[in-house]
Amino acid sequence: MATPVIRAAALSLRHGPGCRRCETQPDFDGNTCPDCGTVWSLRDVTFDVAPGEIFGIVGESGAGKSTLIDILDFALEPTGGAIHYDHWQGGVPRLHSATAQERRRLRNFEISVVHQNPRRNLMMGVSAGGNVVERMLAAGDRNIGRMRDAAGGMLDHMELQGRIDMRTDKLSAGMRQRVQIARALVNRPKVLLLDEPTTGLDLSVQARTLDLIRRVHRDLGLAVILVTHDWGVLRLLARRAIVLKSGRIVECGTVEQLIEDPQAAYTQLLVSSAL
Amino acid sequence: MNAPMAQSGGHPYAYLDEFMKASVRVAVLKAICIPGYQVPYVSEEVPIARGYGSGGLQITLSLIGPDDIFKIIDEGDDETVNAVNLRRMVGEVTGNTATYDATRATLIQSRHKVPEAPLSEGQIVVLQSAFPDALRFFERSEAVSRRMHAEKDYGKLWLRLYESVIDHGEIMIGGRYPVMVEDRYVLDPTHVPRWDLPLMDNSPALFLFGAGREKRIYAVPPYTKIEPLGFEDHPFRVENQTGKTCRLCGSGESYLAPILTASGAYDWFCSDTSFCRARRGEHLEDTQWQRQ
Amino acid sequence: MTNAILEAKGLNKTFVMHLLGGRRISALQDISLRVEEGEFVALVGRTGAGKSSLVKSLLQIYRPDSGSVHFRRADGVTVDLTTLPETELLDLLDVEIGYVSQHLRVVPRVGALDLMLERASGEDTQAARAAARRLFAQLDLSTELEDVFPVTFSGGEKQRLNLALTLMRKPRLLFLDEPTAALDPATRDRIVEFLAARKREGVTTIGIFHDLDAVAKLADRVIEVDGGRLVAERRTAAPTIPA
Repeated sequence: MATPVIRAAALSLRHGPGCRRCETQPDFDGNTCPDCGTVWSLRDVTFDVAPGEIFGIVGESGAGKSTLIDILDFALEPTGGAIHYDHWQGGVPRLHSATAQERRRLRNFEISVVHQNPRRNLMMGVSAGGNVVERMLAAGDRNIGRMRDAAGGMLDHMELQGRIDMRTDKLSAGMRQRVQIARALVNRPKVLLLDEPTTGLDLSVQARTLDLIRRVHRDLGLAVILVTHDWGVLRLLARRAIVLKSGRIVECGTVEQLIEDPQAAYTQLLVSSAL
Repeated sequence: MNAPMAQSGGHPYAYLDEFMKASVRVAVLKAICIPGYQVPYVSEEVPIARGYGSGGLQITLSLIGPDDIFKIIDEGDDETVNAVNLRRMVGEVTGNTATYDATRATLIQSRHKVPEAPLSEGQIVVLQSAFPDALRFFERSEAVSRRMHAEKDYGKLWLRLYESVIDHGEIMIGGRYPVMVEDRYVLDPTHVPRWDLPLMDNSPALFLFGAGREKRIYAVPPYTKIEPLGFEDHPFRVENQTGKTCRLCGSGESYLAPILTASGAYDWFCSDTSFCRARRGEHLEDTQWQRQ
Repeated sequence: MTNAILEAKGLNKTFVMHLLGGRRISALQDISLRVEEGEFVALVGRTGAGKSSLVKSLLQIYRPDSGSVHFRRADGVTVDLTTLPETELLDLLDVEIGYVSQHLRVVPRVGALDLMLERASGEDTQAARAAARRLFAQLDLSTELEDVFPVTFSGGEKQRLNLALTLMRKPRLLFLDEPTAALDPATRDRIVEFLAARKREGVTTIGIFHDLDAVAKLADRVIEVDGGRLVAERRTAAPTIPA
């Protein structure tokens, strides 16, 4: 079996001192330990992502899905456990032992994120092309002609033909999301983190964006970690997934297994609630 | 008429006490050790208002010694109101000699202009700086812009240059053109014209920048590489002065400033007035000041 | 000398419905089944007998509580699908094992032919297009439907597209869930011919059928499922469609 490109091992993020109970006997519901009040945003999360696969993380609000993305994106530091990335030092050391410079390089070239809210990544007062070109500039490119060609091509691919010089705050929500995707892909990363990429978009726009994600994943062969609460999106895109609740993995399996044969009570609840 | 100055005995040589001079000198030394890095320092009060060159003045007064010959210019001109006042102030607190000749001055304080005359080792040019950080325009948070400098993360700056090229066909920035120092830090060279930037590159002189209001000192040591930012296909260019020469001395190799004439047309004159005078064979006498 | 491509032993599956207070529903009880390579096995029985559950438990869509499912891969190695790592299982289900369910998973905004090309490793080559069109022709899918989004297809068209999509990967072992349901007689015959042709090519088929006519024409072996158990099995006479 191929080495996983991303491996999460017992990943935890806690706010608070921890105590014997929440460290060794976490039998409580929810994130907060009743004894010491420590909040566990993530607890003992273990999974791996194969190269080129779309891996789903599903759960409701507050489950810890976005926290997981923030950790993978270096926006947050885990308090326990580790992430290993196969293309950095052979996946041996903890990814979070990387220096600031190495993290920047990883975020520029290897691991890209698309947020639910495009404002987190996009500069609204800058053109669509500018948002894409900024990534190439960060990678050290200094040739405007070449960068514009690449950005233009990428935006065409995202069905944003002719909008390369349009200010981002004049674009619709769906278009902004596609600019974000273009920006995330222009430096050909190996891993793409998608945090609820179509939530809040109109249905027709959702369909378009999902189709785009499928195509792009096929064409570039990158590994994708997809966070969603929508089982339809999960079924369309992902092969395997984990179900998160209150920061813990409740169940894992192939997407087909989770939908057709949910075994944990929470998974059954989620699946039966899906439209 | 001169405003009355403090009588001698009221202040030490060069106005500042040794403690203040030492703290400025330490900042200057640090700045020289890390070319292009903005060193924070204690910017105490001096008898000119903030925004009038207090940082430059603090550096000049901290470094000047009894053997120094100093020169003060403002946009290239020794005779503007500010240049005249600063020169009088420095002269009266030091008793040193002031000169118009850039080649003989050991210490040159300037606002918005690098002297055109070729400089040599041992000369110091002090530039008055208002906005020391080239990133401040894009990033209001000091913590974030410091991290950007630390990580050589100048993407937003390059983006602004890109957008300028897209909007205007070329990099349309006049003063405060960002330069990369020794391939490490981006420095704001103050409002000197683009013309002057090649003069700073690999110069034998030491360039110091003082921003009194912002409390930062930075430096370009002698023989340091200064590279104005530009693209492979849209490189940095100095101002286009094709066909223009100075009406007084005929120079086409110095930075020219336009002056509106009575007829409504523009005439062009050397911005560096002493350089222009020297070309015309005129020399103004040095002034030996008396310590007040 | 075994030429078994699939061997299930002691499969048990009970659903625990936590939303109903933990009610247990037994789907499969102690199922063992061996299928030879090239065989056509028909699963028959009443609705709710467990036929779909059996197919899904073999495919690991349902995770059996106990038992094993051994599959002999093209490279000759036999693996137990119940313990295989998920990524390997999915790779097998992508290529060697095909499953045509009753539901066409609708992918928004992708035309029928493009869906077929995606199955051919996504390459839009002449060969892939030709293969896709051949399948369409064999299944009586009009060329006019090539660019149409399948969400607008009729029930029969969706069934045939489903079959075409699965066969694009040329699986060695094919699972079918009522492939002729809701089809008119002419189309049904087309499908039966198609499946017979695959059988002649050596494809092993395990299919759920209510259509006993199709069963008679295709199956080497008929297994009756009832109450989650295999209750009867008979070998048929030689199928009526000549080789």
